Amino acid sequence: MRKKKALWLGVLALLALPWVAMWAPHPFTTSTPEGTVSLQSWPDHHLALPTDQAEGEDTKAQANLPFLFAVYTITWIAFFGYAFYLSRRQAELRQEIQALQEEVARRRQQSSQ
Amino acid sequence: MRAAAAVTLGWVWVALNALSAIYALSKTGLGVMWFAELLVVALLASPGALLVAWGRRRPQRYEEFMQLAKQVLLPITGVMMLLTLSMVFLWVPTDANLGVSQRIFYFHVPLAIMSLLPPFLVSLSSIGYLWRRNEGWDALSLSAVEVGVLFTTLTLATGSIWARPTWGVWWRWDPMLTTFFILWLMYLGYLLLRAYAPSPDQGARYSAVLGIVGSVNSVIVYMATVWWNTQHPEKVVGPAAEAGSLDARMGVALLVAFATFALLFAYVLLERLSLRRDEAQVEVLRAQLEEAR
Amino acid sequence: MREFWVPVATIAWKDLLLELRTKEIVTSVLVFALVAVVVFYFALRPTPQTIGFVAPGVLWVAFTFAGSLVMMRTFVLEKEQGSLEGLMLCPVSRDVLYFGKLISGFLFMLVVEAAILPVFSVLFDAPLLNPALFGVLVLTTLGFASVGTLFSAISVNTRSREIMLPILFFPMVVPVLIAAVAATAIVLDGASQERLGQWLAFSGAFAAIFVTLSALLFGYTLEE
Repeated sequence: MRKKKALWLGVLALLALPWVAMWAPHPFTTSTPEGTVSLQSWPDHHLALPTDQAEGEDTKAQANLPFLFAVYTITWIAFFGYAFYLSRRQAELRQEIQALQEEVARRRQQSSQ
Repeated sequence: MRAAAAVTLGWVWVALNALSAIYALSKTGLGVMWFAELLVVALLASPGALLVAWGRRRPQRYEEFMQLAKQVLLPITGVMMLLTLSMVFLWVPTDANLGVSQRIFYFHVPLAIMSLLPPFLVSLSSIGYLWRRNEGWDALSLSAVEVGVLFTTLTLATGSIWARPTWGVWWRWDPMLTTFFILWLMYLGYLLLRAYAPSPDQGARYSAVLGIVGSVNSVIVYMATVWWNTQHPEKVVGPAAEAGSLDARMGVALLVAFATFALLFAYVLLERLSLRRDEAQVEVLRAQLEEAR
Repeated sequence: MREFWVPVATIAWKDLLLELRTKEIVTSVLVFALVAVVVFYFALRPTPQTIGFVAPGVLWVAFTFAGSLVMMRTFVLEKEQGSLEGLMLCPVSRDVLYFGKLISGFLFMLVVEAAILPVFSVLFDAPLLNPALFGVLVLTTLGFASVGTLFSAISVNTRSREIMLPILFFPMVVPVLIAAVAATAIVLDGASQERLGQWLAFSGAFAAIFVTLSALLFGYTLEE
């Protein structure tokens, strides 16, 4: 039980971390040291799409933060939701297996008598 | 006859994958993705196949191994997640062109690469199932598809959220995006087919057939969409695509993120596999109950 | 060679004969495809400027819907009359059954398409009665029929089969649909012929791959 509690606390912490980080002062709101660092050279054309809009003022700094956090939140919520669904279902199935095993044993006993 | 068909299929599969890899390598850097993919598959598939064979011979030891693997994987994945997060949010420099939204890549790219893994796993395990009729193969392909749905959904969602500030639209019918969308639809069709099958056995067989055909098709869809889009004059080439190299920190963060999501994939897959085992046990017990009646 | 193609032809002929007597599949699908074309016309309201963009797409969407219906009907008829079991009892290998059903489905689709084309070219004012289009039509229809036969053999055994086939079939034919639309557009505006050859080769490769794969896999869909 304690293990489970710790797990959920961990989940909450993971989900809360970036939202806390959003308000705290930290390095990535400042501009880049090199100026030309870019993941766009990563060899895949769909990552290297051009960006008329990206040249604009609003995409430079913090304007896109909500998008980043939305991605982050959706990703982890989906994973933990799926893990939660799996564990719930597993618990249900284990119960059902137990019940079925008892039932089978009872039937066997009846028929042997 | 069945064995011969399976062996032939296996060779068709291998040849098609080799062809697609060569094709992809000849086209831009996308080959890197497929190449990484093949490596991961080679790494995963052989122990996976052993595991499936083993699960049949020694169910008890298999169960113990699965439990242990899950217990080991979970904390490692958790630690890696924290590492990825701190890197992405605190350590990596901000992209000069894309700004903050470039950080979405550290989630999106690993997710996308991992969601290309299920087609390989599914085609492999479907061939295995049709050949050997071992439940373990069927469990593997079902689990791979379910996890694939999760990863593909997230890839599409994160990609869309990235596209909105960058391209100004939520969606573009770009070859990659289209391929992932079709792949997603095929995964859903696979799950629906299993749900509507008249019996579990038929469901397993039909979905194995669909798994093989669909995996081959996902490669062809990609080729078709690439060709289709080259017809459009507005073929997009990034201004920064030629210049500049990847910042070292970005590369490291991406690798760490990739490792994290690979572990996460393995963990979720194992969880789903052990759930499948319980489901199978329930089916067996129900059948026994029917007999006892 | 002979002992392979004679039973294939017999199975295909059986379907054709049934169709010649009842005319059930072709007429119903033909009417359906016509209705679809009319609905598309009113949904898109093409003007003389936009009709060139719209026509290939409308044509192939109508053909895709018609194709999935044809494939479904050929197997549903077998299933309803209990003759699928009879076919499975035939002392021939399963790929013979596959090729027989493939040929009959392919021919039904071609008949429907051949009947739609003139009507379509009148309604959309598009010069579609072009020999180059014939190749596009044949190869694409073969691609449709190759996966359509396999998937309708699967979905005819499932619950809610009417919805199962389109769900499996449409994503699967996306590549060949792309090729068909692109090739038809080229035929219509009479531009680069080289590109046309490439798309035809693509459709041919698609058909070849999926005819082979489906023939190998067809047996697994028929086991009880």
